[in-house]
Amino acid sequence: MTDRHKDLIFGGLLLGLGLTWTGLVWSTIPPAFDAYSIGPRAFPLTLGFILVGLCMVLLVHRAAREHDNSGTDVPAETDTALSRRIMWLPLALITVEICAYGFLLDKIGFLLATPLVILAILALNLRCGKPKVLVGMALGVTVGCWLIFDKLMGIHLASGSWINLG
Amino acid sequence: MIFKATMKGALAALATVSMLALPGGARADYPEKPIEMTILFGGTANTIAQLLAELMSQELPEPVVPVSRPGGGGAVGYSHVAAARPDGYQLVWNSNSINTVTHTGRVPFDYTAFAPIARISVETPALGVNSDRGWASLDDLKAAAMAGKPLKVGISGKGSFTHLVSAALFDAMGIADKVMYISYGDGKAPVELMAGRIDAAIQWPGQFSSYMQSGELKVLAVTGAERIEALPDVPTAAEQGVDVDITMWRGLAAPAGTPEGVIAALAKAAQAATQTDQFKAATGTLGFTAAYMGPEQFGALIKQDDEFYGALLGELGMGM
Amino acid sequence: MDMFFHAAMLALDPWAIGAVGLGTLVGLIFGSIPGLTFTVALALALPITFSMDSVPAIGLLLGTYIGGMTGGSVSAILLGIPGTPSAAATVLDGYPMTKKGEASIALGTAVIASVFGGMFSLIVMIVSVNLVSKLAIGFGPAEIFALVVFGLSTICGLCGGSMLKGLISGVLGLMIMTVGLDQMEGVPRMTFGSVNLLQGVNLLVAMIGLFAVPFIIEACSGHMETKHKRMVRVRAELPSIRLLLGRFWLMLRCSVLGTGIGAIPGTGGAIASFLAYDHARRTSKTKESFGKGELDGVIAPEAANNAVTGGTLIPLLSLGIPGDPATAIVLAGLMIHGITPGPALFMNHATEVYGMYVAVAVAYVWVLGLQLLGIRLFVHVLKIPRDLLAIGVLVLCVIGAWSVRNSVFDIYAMAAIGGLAYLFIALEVPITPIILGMVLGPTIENEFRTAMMLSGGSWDIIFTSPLAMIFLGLAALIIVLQAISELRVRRSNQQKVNA
Repeated sequence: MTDRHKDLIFGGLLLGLGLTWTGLVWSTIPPAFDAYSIGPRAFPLTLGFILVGLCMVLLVHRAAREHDNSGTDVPAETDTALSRRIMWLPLALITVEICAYGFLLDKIGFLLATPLVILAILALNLRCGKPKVLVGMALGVTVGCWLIFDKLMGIHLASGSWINLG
Repeated sequence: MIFKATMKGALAALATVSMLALPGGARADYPEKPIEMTILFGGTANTIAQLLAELMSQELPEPVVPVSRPGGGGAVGYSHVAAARPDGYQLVWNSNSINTVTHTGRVPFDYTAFAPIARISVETPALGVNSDRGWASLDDLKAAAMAGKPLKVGISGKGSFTHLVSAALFDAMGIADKVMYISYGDGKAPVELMAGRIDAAIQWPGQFSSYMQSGELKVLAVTGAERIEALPDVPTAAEQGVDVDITMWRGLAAPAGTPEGVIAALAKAAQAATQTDQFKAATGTLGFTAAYMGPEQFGALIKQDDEFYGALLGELGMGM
Repeated sequence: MDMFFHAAMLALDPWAIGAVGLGTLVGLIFGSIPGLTFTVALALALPITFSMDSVPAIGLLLGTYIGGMTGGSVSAILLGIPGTPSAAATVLDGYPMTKKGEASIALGTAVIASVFGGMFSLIVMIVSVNLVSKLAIGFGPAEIFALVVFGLSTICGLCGGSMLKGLISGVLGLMIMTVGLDQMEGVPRMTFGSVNLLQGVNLLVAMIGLFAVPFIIEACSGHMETKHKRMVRVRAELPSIRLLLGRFWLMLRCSVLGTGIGAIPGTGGAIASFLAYDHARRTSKTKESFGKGELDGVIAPEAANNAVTGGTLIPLLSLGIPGDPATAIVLAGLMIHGITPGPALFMNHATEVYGMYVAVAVAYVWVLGLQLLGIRLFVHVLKIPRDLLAIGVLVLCVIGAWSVRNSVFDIYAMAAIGGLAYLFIALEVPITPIILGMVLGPTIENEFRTAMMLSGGSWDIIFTSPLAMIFLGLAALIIVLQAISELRVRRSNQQKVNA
């Protein structure tokens, strides 16, 4: 995938987002109540228009360069030098794991949810089969965090609504 | 010896397991684990709640843990507690906001979703103006509003408590149509008053006191039925012939269906906490009044306020 | 003067120094752990102060605040995950320095710049609190709006290669923050009837997601056995005096900027550090090295965001206005000890105020000592295998995101924003503008709307304010300069290709 393709996909997706946003803002947020205030809708609506506009400029700009050598593009700098290939599987796994972590925190509390999620990451993402690492990480991180944050610092860690180990 | 200890441990473990397996089963002693107190707002509300939690922890065998769940004008925290198991381990540090979140349609339940435990404190709003305006009473303010441009009144936001109090006050003064409300988002009103960008603002007395001492602001009235300790020289609106009586109460509530014994135990702890010297000292420094009220009276107060705020929000076009 | 000595005695009592030191340590720890922020640390410290004497109590809170502000740079530099929004600008050059193996130099410089900025602002505060607070009152909604627009204009300089993509991501940041209950009109926006969405996206949670989740995804994307990659070689080497002296003027300029911005109610550390970063880049002779590990890019935001601590105490003490959630907790601590901020504060509580000045100075001494010791330990974090480190970071981030509002919604939001951020990075869209948009979005909207209400809907309130026009002019200037330089780069690239 060349940079130009990436930009076209990015621009296209965000254009869709911008249009959806603008439509939703228009239909769900009421305009100003009084003549003298600009109301809750103006700002998000303007942002929607700006996003749509910017995306269109991006798309036109990149589409117009169809026959250009992609080397003429200014080499973009990224914030961090992550590998440029999108790794869909880790992305999906981690996102789902964090969400599951949140859900479990609410239901079974920090002390049970944390080792489960750590085991899931070790097993699914890192394919780790060493029992020592699995058990060590799951228990070590959980107990360490619990001791430091809950017992020493007094941060309120989540206690579950289904099972509560306190 | 070792055997005994092991047996003891095993029994304790068994007891714990059976407890886990039977939620809502008969409990001998309440409380037997920490109690969560949900706090809905930051600022003074949060400070009072943290102090109360600390003091109640000293009265109870288990600690009361303040847990902040802000957002949506209280809607998020109320929803959390309303959905919790009614076993007395989930409390909410509530206020008049229960009435406003209901009537603005932000939550699908009303005050009946909660069992009142105790009213703890009352805060009385005060109306401040810039001293340079030369207004000495509500009448002066009214005369100025009738004569000139509409009054610019600073509020936290539409439908916020400061807005409701302002609306009720100016309505009772008969100048509701001479007022322009300016939303500030949060408590910047004293500075805006000082800079002369707005004409008047309803705020908590604590926020005005320093400016009053330096002579930059003047407080024209408090909106309660009686004068308050922090501002003994400021007359009430009622004394000036304006019929309003609005104060903000704060208290504790649990999900509806919480056993009466639990409510009574919590109310007793709360009452004891409000009688400590530390709590009394805080009333002065934070600018509120300690006002303990038991569960039944408190319930009646909430019910009465619910009608009042429902009607007020309806008049302002914000009700559901 | 007597009063000052009395206050100094109170504040230099071993207990008080200990309280400040404890606060500083806790602040540093919370600030430097990715995911946890000093707002949480302050919330925890507040109840402890209830039963303390006023000077040590306030010392504890101020120490936590200052420690947290400084500690935010540690994880920003080591892992590219800012500990506070104010340290987001530090990531831009601090993290590349770590990748070059210069982590300890970046950390050491950051600490020294921080202490310099903090002490500078303390002196300004002591000398000119009355004057500055009078000036600050002149900043009404229109002026603050214009100042924030100026801050937002620095997005242009953060876009890396493509200004267009940078602007898009800035606008997205602004959009995300409009979700939730609109404070001003009490109207829900884009909440789809969900109570959880009413609370909106929390800035700290979003920040954790933006910076930490891509790090975690990237680190957990391979098999563990096959690549046990460690980040870089680790040295614990501190910056030389010469290196620092050569940058004295930059530090001073950024400190002035930070103090000034901190003094204006309703702004804060993030805007100051981004403006300082932009300033450093613009005035640098080696512009192109910014973003690749330029030391100036660490000094500028760190000097500025710590200068904000002194600056922000000015409106806090003299006007009773907290600049951000963290200072709001300091305010609560003052109130409960009967120290009501406002114009009468200096009449009623001069001793406590002087005590606070001393406490701030003590806190910076602690920061310097603790951090210079700590750096030697911190850098060893880089020796931990990256994938295991990422798991620890994930747990910490979830604890951190949870502790902000105790809400599961925040964890989901963190995951969603983090996934998005990962995609953006892979698509070479800069993510720093998102955080800038999120920090400034609510202020920009609220101040603009308040200004328009005040004027009855007339734009004159902005056009007739000289201050506002100056800031808008500066913003326009930055945009034009950026556009010119971008065109120039493009042309020279074109020539290279043709040649």
